[in-house]
Amino acid sequence: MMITEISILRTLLTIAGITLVVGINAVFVVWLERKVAGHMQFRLGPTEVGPFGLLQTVADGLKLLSKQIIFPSSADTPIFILAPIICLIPVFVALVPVPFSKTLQAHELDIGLLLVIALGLLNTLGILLAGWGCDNKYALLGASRAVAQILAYKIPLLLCILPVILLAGTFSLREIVVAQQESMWFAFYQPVAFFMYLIAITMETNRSPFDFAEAESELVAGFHTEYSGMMFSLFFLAEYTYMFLASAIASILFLGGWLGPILPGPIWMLLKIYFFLFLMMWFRWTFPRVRVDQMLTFGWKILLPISLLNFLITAGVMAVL
Amino acid sequence: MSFERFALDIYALTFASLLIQIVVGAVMAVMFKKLVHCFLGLVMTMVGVAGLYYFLGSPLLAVMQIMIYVGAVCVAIAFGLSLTHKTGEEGLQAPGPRGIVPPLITLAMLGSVLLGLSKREWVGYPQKIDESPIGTMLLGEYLLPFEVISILLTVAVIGAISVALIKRRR
Repeated sequence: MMITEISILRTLLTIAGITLVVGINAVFVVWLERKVAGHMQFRLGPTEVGPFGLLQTVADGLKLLSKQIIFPSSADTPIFILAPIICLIPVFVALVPVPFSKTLQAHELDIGLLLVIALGLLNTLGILLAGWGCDNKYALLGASRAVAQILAYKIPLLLCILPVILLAGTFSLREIVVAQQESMWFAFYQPVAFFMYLIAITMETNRSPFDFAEAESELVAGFHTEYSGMMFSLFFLAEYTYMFLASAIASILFLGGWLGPILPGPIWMLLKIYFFLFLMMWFRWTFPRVRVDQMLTFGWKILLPISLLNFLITAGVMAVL
Repeated sequence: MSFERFALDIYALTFASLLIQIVVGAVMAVMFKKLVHCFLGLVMTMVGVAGLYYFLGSPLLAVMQIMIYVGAVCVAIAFGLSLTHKTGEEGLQAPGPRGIVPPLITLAMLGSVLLGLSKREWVGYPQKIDESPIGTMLLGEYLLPFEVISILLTVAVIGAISVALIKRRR
Protein backbone atom coordinates (compact mmCIF):
# COMPACT_ATOMS: atom_id res chain seq x y z
CA MET A 1 0.00 0.00 0.00
CA MET A 2 2.70 2.49 -1.02
CA ILE A 3 1.65 6.10 -1.48
CA THR A 4 2.93 7.55 -4.74
CA GLU A 5 2.25 10.70 -6.76
CA ILE A 6 -0.07 8.73 -9.02
CA SER A 7 -2.11 7.24 -6.20
CA ILE A 8 -2.67 10.70 -4.64
CA LEU A 9 -3.67 12.15 -8.01
CA ARG A 10 -5.98 9.20 -8.59
CA THR A 11 -7.65 9.69 -5.21
CA LEU A 12 -8.27 13.39 -5.87
CA LEU A 13 -9.61 12.57 -9.34
CA THR A 14 -11.92 9.91 -7.87
CA ILE A 15 -13.35 12.33 -5.30
CA ALA A 16 -13.90 15.00 -7.97
CA GLY A 17 -15.50 12.50 -10.37
CA ILE A 18 -17.86 11.00 -7.80
CA THR A 19 -18.89 14.47 -6.57
CA LEU A 20 -19.68 15.40 -10.16
CA VAL A 21 -21.72 12.22 -10.74
CA VAL A 22 -23.62 12.65 -7.44
CA GLY A 23 -24.42 16.31 -8.10
CA ILE A 24 -25.46 16.00 -11.74
CA ASN A 25 -27.43 12.82 -11.02
CA ALA A 26 -29.38 14.50 -8.20
CA VAL A 27 -30.23 17.55 -10.33
CA PHE A 28 -31.30 15.36 -13.25
CA VAL A 29 -33.25 12.78 -11.23
CA VAL A 30 -35.26 15.38 -9.30
CA TRP A 31 -36.21 16.96 -12.63
CA LEU A 32 -37.02 13.52 -14.10
CA GLU A 33 -39.11 12.60 -11.06
CA ARG A 34 -41.22 15.75 -11.39
CA LYS A 35 -41.59 15.30 -15.15
CA VAL A 36 -42.56 11.62 -14.83
CA ALA A 37 -45.01 12.43 -12.02
CA GLY A 38 -46.49 15.24 -14.12
CA HIS A 39 -46.99 13.18 -17.25
CA MET A 40 -48.44 10.24 -15.29
CA GLN A 41 -51.06 12.60 -13.87
CA PHE A 42 -51.75 14.35 -17.23
CA ARG A 43 -49.81 17.44 -16.19
CA LEU A 44 -46.71 18.93 -17.75
CA GLY A 45 -44.40 19.11 -14.75
CA PRO A 46 -41.83 21.94 -14.55
CA THR A 47 -41.61 23.98 -17.77
CA GLU A 48 -40.62 27.53 -16.82
CA VAL A 49 -36.91 27.54 -15.88
CA GLY A 50 -34.63 26.64 -18.79
CA PRO A 51 -35.49 24.37 -21.75
CA PHE A 52 -38.12 21.77 -20.69
CA GLY A 53 -37.71 23.11 -17.12
CA LEU A 54 -34.27 21.45 -16.92
CA LEU A 55 -32.85 24.19 -14.70
CA GLN A 56 -35.74 24.01 -12.22
CA THR A 57 -33.72 21.85 -9.81
CA VAL A 58 -30.75 24.22 -9.96
CA ALA A 59 -33.06 27.08 -8.97
CA ASP A 60 -34.53 24.95 -6.16
CA GLY A 61 -31.02 24.07 -4.97
CA LEU A 62 -30.03 27.76 -4.82
CA LYS A 63 -33.22 28.48 -2.87
CA LEU A 64 -32.46 25.68 -0.39
CA LEU A 65 -28.87 26.92 0.03
CA SER A 66 -30.09 30.38 1.04
CA LYS A 67 -32.65 29.10 3.53
CA GLN A 68 -32.14 29.25 7.27
CA ILE A 69 -31.41 25.99 9.08
CA ILE A 70 -33.63 25.78 12.13
CA PHE A 71 -32.42 23.80 15.15
CA PRO A 72 -35.23 22.60 17.43
CA SER A 73 -34.50 23.74 21.00
CA SER A 74 -34.97 20.27 22.49
CA ALA A 75 -32.94 18.55 19.76
CA ASP A 76 -29.72 16.70 20.44
CA THR A 77 -27.57 19.09 18.39
CA PRO A 78 -24.47 16.95 17.62
CA ILE A 79 -26.61 14.00 16.48
CA PHE A 80 -28.95 16.37 14.63
CA ILE A 81 -26.00 17.69 12.60
CA LEU A 82 -24.28 14.31 12.14
CA ALA A 83 -27.31 12.38 10.88
CA PRO A 84 -27.55 13.74 7.28
CA ILE A 85 -23.77 13.42 6.91
CA ILE A 86 -23.85 9.77 8.05
CA CYS A 87 -26.63 9.20 5.50
CA LEU A 88 -24.66 10.67 2.60
CA ILE A 89 -21.05 9.52 3.09
CA PRO A 90 -21.55 5.71 2.79
CA VAL A 91 -23.37 5.97 -0.56
CA PHE A 92 -20.68 8.36 -1.73
CA VAL A 93 -17.93 5.85 -0.88
CA ALA A 94 -19.91 2.92 -2.25
CA LEU A 95 -19.71 4.43 -5.77
CA VAL A 96 -15.94 3.81 -5.79
CA PRO A 97 -15.92 0.15 -7.01
CA VAL A 98 -18.76 0.63 -9.56
CA PRO A 99 -17.47 0.13 -13.12
CA PHE A 100 -18.97 2.25 -15.91
CA SER A 101 -17.06 0.40 -18.63
CA LYS A 102 -14.21 -2.08 -18.85
CA THR A 103 -11.69 0.68 -18.17
CA LEU A 104 -13.76 3.46 -16.55
CA GLN A 105 -13.73 2.57 -12.87
CA ALA A 106 -12.44 4.47 -9.85
CA HIS A 107 -10.88 1.53 -8.07
CA GLU A 108 -11.08 -2.18 -8.89
CA LEU A 109 -11.72 -4.21 -5.74
CA ASP A 110 -12.05 -7.99 -5.78
CA ILE A 111 -14.67 -7.60 -3.04
CA GLY A 112 -16.51 -4.65 -4.62
CA LEU A 113 -19.99 -6.12 -4.24
CA LEU A 114 -19.41 -6.89 -0.54
CA LEU A 115 -18.26 -3.31 0.03
CA VAL A 116 -21.42 -1.90 -1.59
CA ILE A 117 -23.66 -4.19 0.50
CA ALA A 118 -21.83 -3.34 3.73
CA LEU A 119 -21.97 0.42 3.14
CA GLY A 120 -25.63 0.20 2.15
CA LEU A 121 -26.38 -0.87 5.71
CA LEU A 122 -24.98 2.35 7.16
CA ASN A 123 -27.69 4.47 5.52
CA THR A 124 -30.27 3.21 7.99
CA LEU A 125 -28.11 4.25 10.94
CA GLY A 126 -28.22 7.82 9.60
CA ILE A 127 -32.02 7.67 9.39
CA LEU A 128 -32.26 6.27 12.94
CA LEU A 129 -30.00 9.01 14.34
CA ALA A 130 -32.02 11.66 12.47
CA GLY A 131 -35.24 10.35 13.97
CA TRP A 132 -33.79 10.16 17.44
CA GLY A 133 -31.82 13.40 17.40
CA CYS A 134 -34.61 15.89 16.77
CA ASP A 135 -36.92 14.83 19.63
CA ASN A 136 -40.09 14.61 17.58
CA LYS A 137 -42.56 11.74 17.82
CA TYR A 138 -43.21 11.56 14.07
CA ALA A 139 -39.50 11.49 13.34
CA LEU A 140 -38.91 8.73 15.88
CA LEU A 141 -41.80 6.68 14.48
CA GLY A 142 -40.38 7.05 10.97
CA ALA A 143 -36.92 6.01 12.16
CA SER A 144 -38.15 2.93 14.01
CA ARG A 145 -40.10 1.92 10.91
CA ALA A 146 -36.95 2.28 8.81
CA VAL A 147 -35.03 -0.05 11.13
CA ALA A 148 -37.84 -2.63 11.12
CA GLN A 149 -37.86 -2.39 7.34
CA ILE A 150 -34.12 -3.01 6.95
CA LEU A 151 -34.44 -6.23 8.97
CA ALA A 152 -37.28 -7.38 6.71
CA TYR A 153 -35.67 -6.78 3.31
CA LYS A 154 -31.92 -7.14 3.80
CA ILE A 155 -31.84 -10.94 4.15
CA PRO A 156 -33.97 -11.53 1.00
CA LEU A 157 -31.84 -8.94 -0.83
CA LEU A 158 -28.65 -10.84 0.00
CA LEU A 159 -30.29 -14.15 -0.91
CA CYS A 160 -31.18 -12.66 -4.33
CA ILE A 161 -27.56 -11.58 -4.90
CA LEU A 162 -26.04 -14.95 -3.89
CA PRO A 163 -27.24 -16.93 -6.98
CA VAL A 164 -25.61 -14.31 -9.22
CA ILE A 165 -22.35 -14.68 -7.29
CA LEU A 166 -22.63 -18.46 -7.70
CA LEU A 167 -23.09 -18.04 -11.47
CA ALA A 168 -20.27 -15.52 -11.87
CA GLY A 169 -17.93 -17.04 -9.30
CA THR A 170 -16.61 -13.67 -8.11
CA PHE A 171 -17.40 -10.66 -5.88
CA SER A 172 -15.72 -8.19 -8.23
CA LEU A 173 -18.30 -6.02 -10.01
CA ARG A 174 -16.18 -5.86 -13.15
CA GLU A 175 -15.68 -9.63 -13.29
CA ILE A 176 -19.45 -10.16 -12.87
CA VAL A 177 -20.08 -8.13 -16.04
CA VAL A 178 -17.25 -9.90 -17.88
CA ALA A 179 -18.83 -13.24 -16.91
CA GLN A 180 -22.05 -12.14 -18.66
CA GLN A 181 -20.14 -11.35 -21.83
CA GLU A 182 -19.60 -15.02 -22.59
CA SER A 183 -23.10 -16.22 -21.64
CA MET A 184 -26.43 -14.39 -21.49
CA TRP A 185 -27.41 -11.63 -19.08
CA PHE A 186 -28.05 -13.10 -15.64
CA ALA A 187 -31.63 -11.74 -15.67
CA PHE A 188 -32.47 -14.60 -18.08
CA TYR A 189 -30.89 -17.25 -15.84
CA GLN A 190 -32.32 -15.77 -12.65
CA PRO A 191 -35.71 -14.18 -13.45
CA VAL A 192 -37.04 -14.84 -9.93
CA ALA A 193 -34.02 -13.30 -8.25
CA PHE A 194 -34.18 -10.34 -10.66
CA PHE A 195 -37.83 -9.67 -9.84
CA MET A 196 -37.29 -10.05 -6.08
CA TYR A 197 -34.23 -7.79 -6.28
CA LEU A 198 -36.31 -5.07 -7.95
CA ILE A 199 -38.81 -5.21 -5.07
CA ALA A 200 -36.03 -5.30 -2.48
CA ILE A 201 -34.21 -2.23 -3.86
CA THR A 202 -37.50 -0.31 -3.85
CA MET A 203 -37.68 -1.15 -0.14
CA GLU A 204 -33.99 -0.45 0.36
CA THR A 205 -34.13 3.08 -1.06
CA ASN A 206 -37.28 3.93 0.96
CA ARG A 207 -39.32 4.54 -2.15
CA SER A 208 -43.08 4.38 -2.39
CA PRO A 209 -44.95 1.95 -2.06
CA PHE A 210 -42.52 1.18 0.81
CA ASP A 211 -41.67 4.71 1.99
CA PHE A 212 -42.67 4.21 5.62
CA ALA A 213 -39.77 6.20 7.00
CA GLU A 214 -41.29 9.43 5.66
CA ALA A 215 -44.92 8.52 4.78
CA GLU A 216 -46.17 12.11 4.24
CA SER A 217 -49.85 11.35 4.85
CA GLU A 218 -49.20 9.58 8.18
CA LEU A 219 -46.06 11.08 9.74
CA VAL A 220 -45.86 14.68 8.40
CA ALA A 221 -42.45 14.00 6.80
CA GLY A 222 -41.15 11.13 8.93
CA PHE A 223 -37.52 11.14 9.96
CA HIS A 224 -36.69 14.51 8.36
CA THR A 225 -39.70 16.40 9.78
CA GLU A 226 -37.52 18.87 11.70
CA TYR A 227 -34.88 19.42 9.02
CA SER A 228 -34.81 22.52 6.87
CA GLY A 229 -32.65 24.19 4.24
CA MET A 230 -29.50 22.46 3.08
CA MET A 231 -29.62 19.75 5.78
CA PHE A 232 -32.99 18.66 4.43
CA SER A 233 -31.61 18.54 0.92
CA LEU A 234 -28.64 16.45 2.09
CA PHE A 235 -31.14 13.69 2.90
CA PHE A 236 -32.52 13.97 -0.60
CA LEU A 237 -29.05 13.97 -2.12
CA ALA A 238 -28.38 10.76 -0.15
CA GLU A 239 -31.66 9.19 -1.27
CA TYR A 240 -31.19 9.96 -4.96
CA THR A 241 -27.56 8.86 -4.89
CA TYR A 242 -28.64 5.65 -3.19
CA MET A 243 -31.21 5.10 -5.96
CA PHE A 244 -28.47 5.65 -8.54
CA LEU A 245 -26.18 3.19 -6.76
CA ALA A 246 -28.88 0.52 -6.37
CA SER A 247 -29.79 0.87 -10.06
CA ALA A 248 -26.14 0.61 -11.06
CA ILE A 249 -25.73 -2.57 -9.02
CA ALA A 250 -28.96 -3.97 -10.48
CA SER A 251 -27.80 -3.36 -14.05
CA ILE A 252 -24.37 -4.86 -13.30
CA LEU A 253 -25.79 -7.97 -11.61
CA PHE A 254 -28.67 -8.72 -13.96
CA LEU A 255 -28.52 -6.68 -17.20
CA GLY A 256 -24.86 -7.00 -18.13
CA GLY A 257 -23.60 -3.57 -17.00
CA TRP A 258 -21.86 -1.76 -19.85
CA LEU A 259 -22.44 -4.58 -22.40
CA GLY A 260 -24.50 -3.69 -25.46
CA PRO A 261 -24.23 -3.27 -29.23
CA ILE A 262 -23.11 -0.19 -31.22
CA LEU A 263 -23.09 2.47 -28.47
CA PRO A 264 -20.02 2.82 -26.20
CA GLY A 265 -20.04 1.14 -22.77
CA PRO A 266 -20.63 4.06 -20.39
CA ILE A 267 -23.69 5.16 -22.40
CA TRP A 268 -25.23 1.66 -22.15
CA MET A 269 -24.49 1.67 -18.44
CA LEU A 270 -26.20 5.05 -17.94
CA LEU A 271 -29.17 3.97 -20.10
CA LYS A 272 -29.67 0.87 -17.95
CA ILE A 273 -29.29 2.85 -14.70
CA TYR A 274 -31.89 5.40 -15.77
CA PHE A 275 -34.17 2.60 -16.95
CA PHE A 276 -34.19 1.26 -13.39
CA LEU A 277 -34.66 4.77 -11.96
CA PHE A 278 -37.62 5.26 -14.31
CA LEU A 279 -39.08 1.93 -13.12
CA MET A 280 -38.81 3.07 -9.50
CA MET A 281 -40.58 6.35 -10.34
CA TRP A 282 -43.25 4.40 -12.18
CA PHE A 283 -43.82 2.29 -9.04
CA ARG A 284 -44.02 5.41 -6.91
CA TRP A 285 -46.65 7.22 -8.96
CA THR A 286 -48.87 4.20 -9.69
CA PHE A 287 -48.90 2.10 -6.48
CA PRO A 288 -50.51 3.30 -3.24
CA ARG A 289 -48.46 2.92 -0.07
CA VAL A 290 -49.01 -0.42 1.71
CA ARG A 291 -49.45 -0.62 5.47
CA VAL A 292 -46.46 -1.24 7.77
CA ASP A 293 -47.66 -4.66 8.93
CA GLN A 294 -48.35 -5.64 5.30
CA MET A 295 -44.76 -4.71 4.39
CA LEU A 296 -43.35 -6.75 7.29
CA THR A 297 -45.60 -9.70 6.41
CA PHE A 298 -44.53 -9.43 2.78
CA GLY A 299 -40.84 -9.28 3.64
CA TRP A 300 -40.76 -12.15 6.11
CA LYS A 301 -43.43 -14.49 4.71
CA ILE A 302 -43.12 -14.07 0.94
CA LEU A 303 -39.79 -12.52 -0.06
CA LEU A 304 -37.64 -14.51 2.37
CA PRO A 305 -38.98 -18.05 1.66
CA ILE A 306 -39.05 -17.57 -2.12
CA SER A 307 -35.54 -16.11 -2.26
CA LEU A 308 -34.18 -18.85 0.00
CA LEU A 309 -35.83 -21.51 -2.17
CA ASN A 310 -34.50 -19.85 -5.32
CA PHE A 311 -30.98 -19.80 -3.89
CA LEU A 312 -31.14 -23.46 -2.77
CA ILE A 313 -32.47 -24.57 -6.18
CA THR A 314 -29.74 -22.60 -8.00
CA ALA A 315 -27.05 -24.10 -5.77
CA GLY A 316 -28.49 -27.60 -6.29
CA VAL A 317 -28.69 -27.25 -10.06
CA MET A 318 -25.15 -25.88 -10.24
CA ALA A 319 -23.86 -28.74 -8.08
CA VAL A 320 -25.50 -31.32 -10.39
CA LEU A 321 -24.37 -29.75 -13.71
CA MET B 1 13.16 12.67 -0.94
CA SER B 2 10.64 15.20 0.28
CA PHE B 3 7.66 13.52 -1.36
CA GLU B 4 8.29 10.26 0.47
CA ARG B 5 8.46 12.21 3.71
CA PHE B 6 5.12 13.86 2.83
CA ALA B 7 3.52 10.51 1.96
CA LEU B 8 4.73 9.00 5.22
CA ASP B 9 3.27 11.96 7.11
CA ILE B 10 -0.13 11.48 5.47
CA TYR B 11 0.06 7.79 6.28
CA ALA B 12 0.90 8.41 9.93
CA LEU B 13 -1.77 11.09 10.27
CA THR B 14 -4.50 8.82 8.87
CA PHE B 15 -3.40 6.02 11.16
CA ALA B 16 -3.37 8.33 14.19
CA SER B 17 -6.84 9.69 13.44
CA LEU B 18 -8.15 6.13 13.17
CA LEU B 19 -6.65 5.27 16.56
CA ILE B 20 -8.14 8.41 18.11
CA GLN B 21 -11.54 7.54 16.62
CA ILE B 22 -11.40 4.03 18.11
CA VAL B 23 -10.36 5.16 21.59
CA VAL B 24 -12.75 8.14 21.72
CA GLY B 25 -15.59 5.93 20.50
CA ALA B 26 -14.86 3.31 23.13
CA VAL B 27 -14.74 5.93 25.91
CA MET B 28 -18.01 7.46 24.60
CA ALA B 29 -19.69 4.07 24.61
CA VAL B 30 -18.81 3.52 28.26
CA MET B 31 -19.02 6.99 29.80
CA PHE B 32 -21.90 8.84 28.14
CA LYS B 33 -25.27 9.08 29.83
CA LYS B 34 -27.65 9.02 26.87
CA LEU B 35 -28.09 5.62 25.24
CA VAL B 36 -27.93 7.03 21.71
CA HIS B 37 -24.61 8.72 22.40
CA CYS B 38 -23.21 5.44 23.71
CA PHE B 39 -24.54 3.74 20.58
CA LEU B 40 -22.86 6.34 18.38
CA GLY B 41 -19.58 5.72 20.21
CA LEU B 42 -19.92 1.99 19.61
CA VAL B 43 -20.49 2.57 15.87
CA MET B 44 -17.45 4.89 15.75
CA THR B 45 -15.25 2.23 17.32
CA MET B 46 -16.51 -0.51 15.00
CA VAL B 47 -15.93 1.61 11.88
CA GLY B 48 -12.51 2.62 13.20
CA VAL B 49 -11.51 -1.01 13.70
CA ALA B 50 -12.62 -1.71 10.13
CA GLY B 51 -10.35 1.12 8.98
CA LEU B 52 -7.51 -0.44 10.97
CA TYR B 53 -8.02 -3.77 9.17
CA TYR B 54 -7.86 -1.97 5.83
CA PHE B 55 -4.69 -0.22 6.92
CA LEU B 56 -3.10 -3.52 7.92
CA GLY B 57 -3.66 -4.84 4.40
CA SER B 58 -6.84 -6.89 4.63
CA PRO B 59 -9.79 -5.20 2.84
CA LEU B 60 -11.87 -8.39 3.18
CA LEU B 61 -11.73 -8.30 6.98
CA ALA B 62 -12.50 -4.57 6.92
CA VAL B 63 -15.64 -5.07 4.82
CA MET B 64 -16.70 -8.04 6.95
CA GLN B 65 -16.22 -5.95 10.10
CA ILE B 66 -18.53 -3.25 8.71
CA MET B 67 -21.06 -5.78 7.45
CA ILE B 68 -21.29 -7.93 10.58
CA TYR B 69 -20.59 -5.53 13.43
CA VAL B 70 -21.96 -2.26 12.08
CA GLY B 71 -24.55 -3.62 9.66
CA ALA B 72 -25.93 -6.50 11.68
CA VAL B 73 -25.03 -6.09 15.37
CA CYS B 74 -25.45 -2.31 15.55
CA VAL B 75 -28.67 -2.34 13.51
CA ALA B 76 -30.04 -5.00 15.88
CA ILE B 77 -29.08 -2.79 18.84
CA ALA B 78 -30.66 0.17 17.03
CA PHE B 79 -33.87 -1.81 16.64
CA GLY B 80 -33.89 -2.41 20.39
CA LEU B 81 -33.18 1.29 21.00
CA SER B 82 -36.03 2.41 18.78
CA LEU B 83 -38.48 0.30 20.82
CA THR B 84 -37.73 2.09 24.09
CA HIS B 85 -38.50 5.68 25.02
CA LYS B 86 -35.99 5.71 27.87
CA THR B 87 -32.91 7.76 27.11
CA GLY B 88 -30.90 6.25 29.99
CA GLU B 89 -30.52 9.15 32.43
CA GLU B 90 -29.20 7.04 35.29
CA GLY B 91 -25.63 7.16 34.06
CA LEU B 92 -22.56 5.99 35.93
CA GLN B 93 -22.57 5.13 39.60
CA ALA B 94 -19.70 6.12 41.86
CA PRO B 95 -17.16 3.25 41.95
CA GLY B 96 -16.64 1.47 45.28
CA PRO B 97 -13.33 0.18 46.61
CA ARG B 98 -13.46 -2.58 44.02
CA GLY B 99 -13.38 0.09 41.29
CA ILE B 100 -9.60 -0.08 41.24
CA VAL B 101 -9.56 -3.61 39.76
CA PRO B 102 -10.55 -2.85 36.11
CA PRO B 103 -7.92 -0.10 35.60
CA LEU B 104 -5.27 -2.41 37.05
CA ILE B 105 -6.23 -5.25 34.71
CA THR B 106 -6.28 -2.86 31.75
CA LEU B 107 -2.84 -1.48 32.58
CA ALA B 108 -1.42 -4.97 33.04
CA MET B 109 -2.79 -6.10 29.66
CA LEU B 110 -1.56 -2.95 27.91
CA GLY B 111 1.88 -3.39 29.48
CA SER B 112 2.20 -7.01 28.46
CA VAL B 113 1.11 -6.24 24.88
CA LEU B 114 3.63 -3.40 24.60
CA LEU B 115 6.35 -5.59 26.12
CA GLY B 116 5.57 -8.35 23.61
CA LEU B 117 5.58 -5.90 20.69
CA SER B 118 8.83 -4.18 21.68
CA LYS B 119 10.86 -7.19 20.55
CA ARG B 120 9.27 -7.22 17.09
CA GLU B 121 10.73 -5.59 14.02
CA TRP B 122 8.94 -2.42 12.82
CA VAL B 123 7.76 -2.35 9.20
CA GLY B 124 7.07 0.89 7.33
CA TYR B 125 4.17 -0.19 5.14
CA PRO B 126 2.06 -3.31 5.68
CA GLN B 127 1.75 -5.58 2.66
CA LYS B 128 -1.64 -6.53 1.27
CA ILE B 129 -2.41 -9.99 2.61
CA ASP B 130 -3.46 -12.71 0.20
CA GLU B 131 -6.87 -13.61 1.57
CA SER B 132 -7.65 -16.59 -0.66
CA PRO B 133 -6.12 -19.15 1.80
CA ILE B 134 -8.94 -18.24 4.23
CA GLY B 135 -11.52 -19.60 1.78
CA THR B 136 -9.42 -22.62 0.86
CA MET B 137 -8.87 -23.52 4.50
CA LEU B 138 -12.57 -23.08 5.34
CA LEU B 139 -13.41 -25.62 2.62
CA GLY B 140 -10.55 -27.98 3.47
CA GLU B 141 -9.01 -28.11 6.89
CA TYR B 142 -11.90 -26.54 8.78
CA LEU B 143 -14.76 -27.98 6.71
CA LEU B 144 -16.68 -29.50 9.63
CA PRO B 145 -16.96 -26.35 11.81
CA PHE B 146 -17.78 -24.33 8.70
CA GLU B 147 -20.58 -26.74 7.75
CA VAL B 148 -21.94 -26.77 11.31
CA ILE B 149 -22.09 -22.95 11.33
CA SER B 150 -23.77 -22.82 7.93
CA ILE B 151 -26.35 -25.41 9.01
CA LEU B 152 -26.97 -23.36 12.17
CA LEU B 153 -27.56 -20.22 10.08
CA THR B 154 -29.87 -22.03 7.64
CA VAL B 155 -31.85 -23.40 10.60
CA ALA B 156 -32.10 -19.86 11.99
CA VAL B 157 -33.47 -18.53 8.67
CA ILE B 158 -35.98 -21.39 8.36
CA GLY B 159 -36.93 -20.86 12.01
CA ALA B 160 -37.58 -17.17 11.34
CA ILE B 161 -39.80 -18.10 8.38
CA SER B 162 -41.77 -20.65 10.41
CA VAL B 163 -42.19 -18.25 13.35
CA ALA B 164 -43.54 -15.65 10.95
CA LEU B 165 -45.80 -18.08 9.07
CA ILE B 166 -47.43 -19.90 11.99
CA LYS B 167 -50.32 -17.93 13.44
CA ARG B 168 -49.95 -16.99 17.06
CA ARG B 169 -52.65 -18.16 19.46
CA ARG B 170 -54.27 -15.62 21.69
